[in-house]
Amino acid sequence: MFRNHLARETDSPYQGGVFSLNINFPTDYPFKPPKVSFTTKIYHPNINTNGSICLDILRAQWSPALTISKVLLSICSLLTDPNPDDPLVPEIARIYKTDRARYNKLALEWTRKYAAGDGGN
Amino acid sequence: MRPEISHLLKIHEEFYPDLQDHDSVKAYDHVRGVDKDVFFLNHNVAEKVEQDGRSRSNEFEAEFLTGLCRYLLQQEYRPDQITILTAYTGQLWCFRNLMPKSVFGSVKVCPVDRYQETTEVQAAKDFMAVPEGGCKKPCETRLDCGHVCPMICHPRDSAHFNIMCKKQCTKTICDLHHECSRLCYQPCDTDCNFKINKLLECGHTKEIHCHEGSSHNIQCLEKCQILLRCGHHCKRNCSEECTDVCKEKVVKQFKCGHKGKAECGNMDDNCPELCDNTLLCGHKCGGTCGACKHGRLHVPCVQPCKRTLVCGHECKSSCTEYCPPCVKHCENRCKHSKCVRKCGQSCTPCQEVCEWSCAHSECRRPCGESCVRLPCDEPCRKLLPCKHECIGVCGETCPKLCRICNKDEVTEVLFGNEDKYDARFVLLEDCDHIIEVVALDTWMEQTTVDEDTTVQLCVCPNCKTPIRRNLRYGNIIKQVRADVEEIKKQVRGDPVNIRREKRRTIQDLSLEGMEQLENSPYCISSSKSSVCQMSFTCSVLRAFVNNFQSQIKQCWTETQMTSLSYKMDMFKKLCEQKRKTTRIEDRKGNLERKQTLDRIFKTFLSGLISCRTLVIRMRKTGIENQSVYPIASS
Repeated sequence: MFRNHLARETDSPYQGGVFSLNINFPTDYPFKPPKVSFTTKIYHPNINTNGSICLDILRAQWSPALTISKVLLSICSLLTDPNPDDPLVPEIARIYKTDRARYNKLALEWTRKYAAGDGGN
Repeated sequence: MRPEISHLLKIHEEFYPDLQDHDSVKAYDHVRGVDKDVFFLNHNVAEKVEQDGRSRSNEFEAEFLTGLCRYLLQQEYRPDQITILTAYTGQLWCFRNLMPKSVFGSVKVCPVDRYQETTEVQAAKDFMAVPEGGCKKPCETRLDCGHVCPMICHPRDSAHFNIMCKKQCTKTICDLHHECSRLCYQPCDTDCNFKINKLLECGHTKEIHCHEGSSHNIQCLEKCQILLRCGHHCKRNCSEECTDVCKEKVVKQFKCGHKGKAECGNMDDNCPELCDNTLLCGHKCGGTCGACKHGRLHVPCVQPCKRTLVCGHECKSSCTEYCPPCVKHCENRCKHSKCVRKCGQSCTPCQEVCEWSCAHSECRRPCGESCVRLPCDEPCRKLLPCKHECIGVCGETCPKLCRICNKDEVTEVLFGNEDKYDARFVLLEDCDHIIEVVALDTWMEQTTVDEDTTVQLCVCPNCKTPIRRNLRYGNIIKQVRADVEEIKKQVRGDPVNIRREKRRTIQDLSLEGMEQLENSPYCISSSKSSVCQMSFTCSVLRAFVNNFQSQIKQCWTETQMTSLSYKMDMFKKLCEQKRKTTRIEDRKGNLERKQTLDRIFKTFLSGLISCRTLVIRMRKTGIENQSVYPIASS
């Protein structure tokens, strides 16, 4: 297991937040994908309260050719571009689709509250 | 010889003392275009000695005579009536250069000592001032059209046969005394195209051509001024019949509660609000609230399917509940041959002898069956072209890369053991990647014993290209292929069942369809609007029957047939409902209800035509609910 810090710098409600992730390598890695989860709470349609991430390359689309840095890059882009059509938290997906301003506000609040740059909880 | 010329010869007695004029020469006309028949021209331009030293020429004289000659031709002399005599042969060549045959034709030019004929004419100056060859005054002849001849004096065509008068024609060509619009020399217009304003029966005036004036079919293009019952203006032209359905866009409140713009006279409940429901197929509905009957009967989903089929290809048809068999070319191949059928069809197993053999073991069974030997784990002993040892395994196709010459590519880490000094690699011929053999063994093994038992082709761990030919993993590949074949067979279904079902459906269709077409209750209806409706309903019915027949012909899988059967069932239900409708008595209060039911029948019939297999179950439920509704409320 190793921990990773993800610092966001692009223009999104997660900007400036520092998010910690658990990366668990199964014994049959790289035949099986690593188990990646957020330990910092985050408001996102594809990440639930347990920190589980709904990302195809961490499941069926896994390939041994994917390195950890590529996986982290994919997670970064998931933060910038959520996929509300395949949500893990339908309620957040609904707000994301219908009321983008409210979604941005809530996501920013959570980022300030939980990911305030001291390395998370 | 003209007497004027012979007279000159008689001045000196010594020349020709006995020269007498023949009577005929006394009747010669005067030469046209010149004042005197004989004249001399004085000039002081010197002649030039030719190169041979014996002959001479005078360019001034030659140019002058050429001009005179052209002038005489304009006096309507024929070229063969003119002769130019020269004193020197050099002058003769000078003339030849100045007088092109195209202009002067057969005008004779010859040295005087060779000339034996009756001479005719010679000389004058400044011909350019009289381009027509006459004098400088206008012709002034009155032409047949009444206009004056436009040319200046022209001896040519004195009868004015070919003079074209280019003035405006002054003839009147219609009863209203309009003048012809053409030029005087052109044939006159047959139809008078003079623009006139005509007062039409409707009271509008329209600008038309004079010759159209007597026609009774003049279409008035002014806007119709009539107010419809709803209070809006008719949008058609004055000459057209007024519209039945007011096209004015108004904000309406629909039955569903939505508000939106719609045509005023359109009674259909066509709410333009987006439907936005999620269909059973998982896609968002693309129709409008009105088109989807307020969510009860959705329009067909038009999204592309894009699901990955069992063969690994993407489904190319539009979103359907059951993906049809794959229509791509089959990509299965072995060492010997490749399959040329469509991917969705069965492959014939290869019957050649298996080529998997090495120094330690071999398989001699047919290539298409499972191999009886185990993989050989000995290193390959062959040498690469670079004289280094092969990095492959015994009995497999040798990888083209060398551990020493292609160090970076070979030792790049994928599973972790690639950079060991004794790592051995397997070449995947479908994508040309090389994978370390121990890791690849585990990778391939994992595909067959995966916990989520999906049937899928083994893929290259690096690029995900399906592995279709490989000797070492032949048995795994063949096992997966057999599973895929089994699924393809299920998708296609039992051909006997399909044939039986096809026969049944066609029979049902012809019975129901024909009965509906021939005994259509609208045919006996007498009122005008019902007759219109009848022809429309009949054409929709006919479209349905034709469309259905062609679908049955194209259908080749059991799943497609199932959905067609669904369609047939719905059609039968609809027809039943319609028969009930016809049994409702034609009392006064029922007429409107019957018309509503007719309209619903028509809507569903159109819906059935557009309906693909896709959300057919959803639509089936929708249609059942919908068709029950009006009867229940009646």
